[in-house]
Amino acid sequence: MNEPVTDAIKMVDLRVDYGDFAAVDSLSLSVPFGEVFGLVGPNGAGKTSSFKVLATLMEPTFGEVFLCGIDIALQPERARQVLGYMPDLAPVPTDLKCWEFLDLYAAAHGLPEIERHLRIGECLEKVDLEDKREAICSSLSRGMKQRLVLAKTLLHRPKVMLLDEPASGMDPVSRAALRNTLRSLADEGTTVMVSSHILSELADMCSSVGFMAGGKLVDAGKIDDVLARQGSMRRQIKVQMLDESSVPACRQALSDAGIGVVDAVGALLKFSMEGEGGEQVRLLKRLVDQGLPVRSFEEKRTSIEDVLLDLDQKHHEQQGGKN
Amino acid sequence: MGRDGDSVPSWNLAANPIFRRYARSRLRPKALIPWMLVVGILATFVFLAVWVGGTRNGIDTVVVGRTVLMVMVPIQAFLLMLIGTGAVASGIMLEGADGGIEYQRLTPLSPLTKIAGYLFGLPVREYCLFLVTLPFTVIGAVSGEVPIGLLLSLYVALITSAVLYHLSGCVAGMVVNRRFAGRIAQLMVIVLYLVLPQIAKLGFEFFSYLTILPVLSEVMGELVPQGRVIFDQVFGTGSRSVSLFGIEVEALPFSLLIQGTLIMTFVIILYRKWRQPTHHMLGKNFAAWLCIWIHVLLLGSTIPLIDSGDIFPTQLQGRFQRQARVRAQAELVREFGELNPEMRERLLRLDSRRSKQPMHAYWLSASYGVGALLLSCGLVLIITPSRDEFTKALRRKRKLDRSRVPLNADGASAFLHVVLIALAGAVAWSIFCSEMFGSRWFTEQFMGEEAPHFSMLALRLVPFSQLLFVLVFWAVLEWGERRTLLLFVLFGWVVPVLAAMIFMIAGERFHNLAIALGGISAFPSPFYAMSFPLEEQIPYLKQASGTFVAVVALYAVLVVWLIRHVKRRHEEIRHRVEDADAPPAASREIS
Repeated sequence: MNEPVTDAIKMVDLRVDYGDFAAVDSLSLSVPFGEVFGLVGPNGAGKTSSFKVLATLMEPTFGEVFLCGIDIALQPERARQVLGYMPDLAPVPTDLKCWEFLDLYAAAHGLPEIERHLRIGECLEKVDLEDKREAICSSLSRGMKQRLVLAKTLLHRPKVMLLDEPASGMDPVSRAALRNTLRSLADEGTTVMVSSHILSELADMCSSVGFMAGGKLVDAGKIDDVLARQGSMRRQIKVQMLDESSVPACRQALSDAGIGVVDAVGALLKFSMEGEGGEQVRLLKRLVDQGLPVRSFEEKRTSIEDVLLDLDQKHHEQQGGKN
Repeated sequence: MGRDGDSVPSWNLAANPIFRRYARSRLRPKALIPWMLVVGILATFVFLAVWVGGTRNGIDTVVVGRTVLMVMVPIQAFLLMLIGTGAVASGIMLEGADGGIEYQRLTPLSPLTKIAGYLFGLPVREYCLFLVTLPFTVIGAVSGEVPIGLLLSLYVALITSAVLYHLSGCVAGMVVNRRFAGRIAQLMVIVLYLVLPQIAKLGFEFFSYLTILPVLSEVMGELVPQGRVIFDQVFGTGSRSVSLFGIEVEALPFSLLIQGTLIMTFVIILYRKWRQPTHHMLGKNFAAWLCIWIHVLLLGSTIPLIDSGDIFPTQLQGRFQRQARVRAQAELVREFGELNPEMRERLLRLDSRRSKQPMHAYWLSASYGVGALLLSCGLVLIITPSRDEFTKALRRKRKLDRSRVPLNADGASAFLHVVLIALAGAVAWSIFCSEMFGSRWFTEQFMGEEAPHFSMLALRLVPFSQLLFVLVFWAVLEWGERRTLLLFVLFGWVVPVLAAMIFMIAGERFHNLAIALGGISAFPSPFYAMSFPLEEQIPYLKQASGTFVAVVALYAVLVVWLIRHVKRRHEEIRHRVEDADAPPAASREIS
C-alpha cells in the first residue's frame, strides 16, 4: 500500500557537481504542504543549483527528489504538472500579447479551452495586470514582466512553487502584493520555496527557512526556531546613554564585565554578548548601580541577515582553514 | 490526456500549444499580407510568363501546364527550404534568448510534442506562402494531365526535404552555442544542400538523395523530357533509380530512406536535448548503429555500380584522362624533346593505356576511407565523455552501489563503442576496396594486357589501419578534453597537410618531404594506406607507401601510450571519487 504523501518537497542526499566542485552536497530536506520556505545563503551556496534540480532543469549527480511524492527523475513530465517555477530574470517573448503568452502555457499544462479564458483573467487580476491583457509583452516594464511571469506560474494551480528572486525589479507596492499572493497561496495548501537577497522580505514572507553554505544545508526549520538556534550564543545589545560624556565610563564598565569589543556612535553603544535574559538584567543593573545614565537598553533580535553573515564568515574561516 | 503527463499528443498539431503560439505570432495580418502579396505577384508573373509565352508560340497546353508545374517547384523549394529553415533556426535561437525554451522544458508536454510544435510552428508563415503558390501548381497539374501518383511523389519528396532542413535548423538552434547557432544553421544548410550532394559527383550517388533533386529529375523525365536533359546538365543528376544490393529502388523510396535516417537522427538529438540539455547528442549504442547503417546504405548503393563502371562519374574519368594525357606529353617532351604534332598525337594514342591505370579505383577507394574516417571521428566526438561526465558517472555508480557504470551511459568510457565504430568503418572500407579491385570493370581495364600484380589480402587489410587513427582521436579526447584534441588535430593533422601542400608547390625536389609530412596527418591517411598494396602499379606512390608503414608504426606506439594514460587518468578519478570524504550535512524535516 502506498504511504500518504506528507511532504510537498523532499530531497534526499542530493549532490550536484561542476567538475571537481560540489555545488550541492548531501542535501536532504523535506518541506510540508502549505509552507512558504525561504532558501537563504551567500553567493555560491548552492541555492540556484538546488532550485534548478527541483525544477527538473538540471540532472543531479545523484540523490532523489520528490515533488508531491512524484520522483522527478522517473516522471519529470508528471512532476512538471504540479510545479511552478519562476526564474530570477523572467524573460517574456517579444512577439506575443500578454493573454497569448498565458494561453500558451495554460494550454501546455492541459487546461481546457473554456477554462483557459477564465483562468487567464483570474491570474492577470491576481498580479494586477488585467488592463494589460491585450498589450504586447515587450511593451511592459521590468516589474510588470516579472508579475506577468508570476501569473504564468500560477496558471495551472501548481502545488509546489519555486520562486528564484521573485521580487527583483518590482516596486514596493508590487512586492507587498507578491507577499500577499504567496501567503494566500500557502493558505490554499500550495508550498512555496523562495530565494531572495532581500532578506527582510523573506522574514515577512516565509514561515520556515533553510540556510545553505558551501553547498550544504546548515540549518532549516521554522524561522523562530532557526534564529533561536543560530542566534542563541551571541546577542546584539544596544545601550543608549543620556549623553556622549558618559560613554568612556560605560565602556570601562562593560570591559570590567568581560565585554571587549564595543562600537560607539555618539551616545549609542553596540556590542554582542553571550547568555540569555538573566545575563542582560545583571549587566543593566551593574551599569545603573555604577550611576551611569542609561537611557535605553535593548536586545536587537537576531535577523536572518545576521545569521547569514555569521554563516558566511564561518564558511570563509573553514575554507581558509582547509587551505 | 496523452501518455504520462503529456497534455497534448504529439500528432495533434491543431491542439499543439507551441504550434498555435507561432500560428498566432507569425500569421498576424500585418506581417503575413505583405509577404503573401510578394509571393502571389511573383508566382502569378512566373505562371503568366510560361503560360502566355507557351500558348502564343503554339505549344501544346499539356506541355505548357507541365512546364508551369515544374517552374513552380523551385519557388516552393526556395520558400520552404531556404526561408523556412532560416525561420526555424532564428526562431529557436530567439526562443533560447527569450527564455522560452527553459519555460517550455518545464511544461508537461512530451519532448515529441515540443519538437513537433517548433518544427511546424516556426515555419508556419512559409507553409502559408507555399499555399499561395499551390493554385498555379493545381492549374499546371490539371492542364498538364499530370498523373496524381507522380504529383504526390514530387510533393512528398519536397515536404520531406523541407522537414529535414527545418530539423537541421532546430538542431543547430538547440545544440549549438547561441552565439554561433545562426552561422551553424546556415552552414548545415550549405553542407546538406551544396557540399554533400557534390560528393555524388565523385561517384557516391547516395549523397544526392539528401536533396529533392533526384526525385525532381525523375518527375521531370516523365513530364518534360527535354527539360530533364537541361536539368541533369545543370545539377549533375543522371540515372535515377538506385540499385540497393542489386534490388532496383525508385528515386522516391530511396530518397525517403536516406532522408528518413537523417530525420530520425535529428529527432533523437532533439529528444535527448529536450529531456536534458547536458545529455550527449546521441547515445553510444545509437551512434554505433547509425555508423553501421550508413555504411550499409553506402555499400548497398555503390557496390552494384562498380562492376558496370557506372560508379565512375564522367567528370572524374575525364579529369584522370586529361591528367594522364598531360603527364604523357610531359614525359614525351622530356625523352624526345619537341616532336612534330602528328608524331606526338600518334605516340599519345599509343600511350592511352595510361588512362587505364588503376587511378580511378585508387581515388574512389581512398575517398571512401576519408569519408569513413570523418564519420567515425564525428561520432567519437559526440559519444566520448568529458572528465566531468566521467566523474559524475562514477559518483553515481558509487552512490547507487552499482558494480560498474552502464556501458551506454553518457559518462561511461567510450572505448568499446569507439572500437565498434572504427571497426565498422574499416570493415566497410575494406569491403569497398575488395569489391572495387576485384570487380569485372577493373579487370576489363587491362584486357589484352598484363594484369596488374598486387596483393588483394593487403588491400583488404590496410583499411584496418584506420582503427589506429580513430583510437588516437578518441584517446586524446578522453584523456585531454576538447581543447587538447583541438590542438592535436590542428598541429598533428591540419598543419602537416598544409605544410605538405606548400612543399608540393615549392618544387619537385621537395616532393618527397611533402609526401612524408602529409603522411603524419590522418586526413589523407587513406590515400597513403591504399598506396601500400598498389605501389607497384603506380610508381610515384612508393614514397607514400613507405611513409604509411612508418606512420602506422608511430600511431601504434601512440595508441598504446595514450591508452595507458587514459587508464591512468580514469584510475586517478576513480580514487578521488572513492576517497572523497562526505561528512553528513544537516538533514531537516520542517514540521
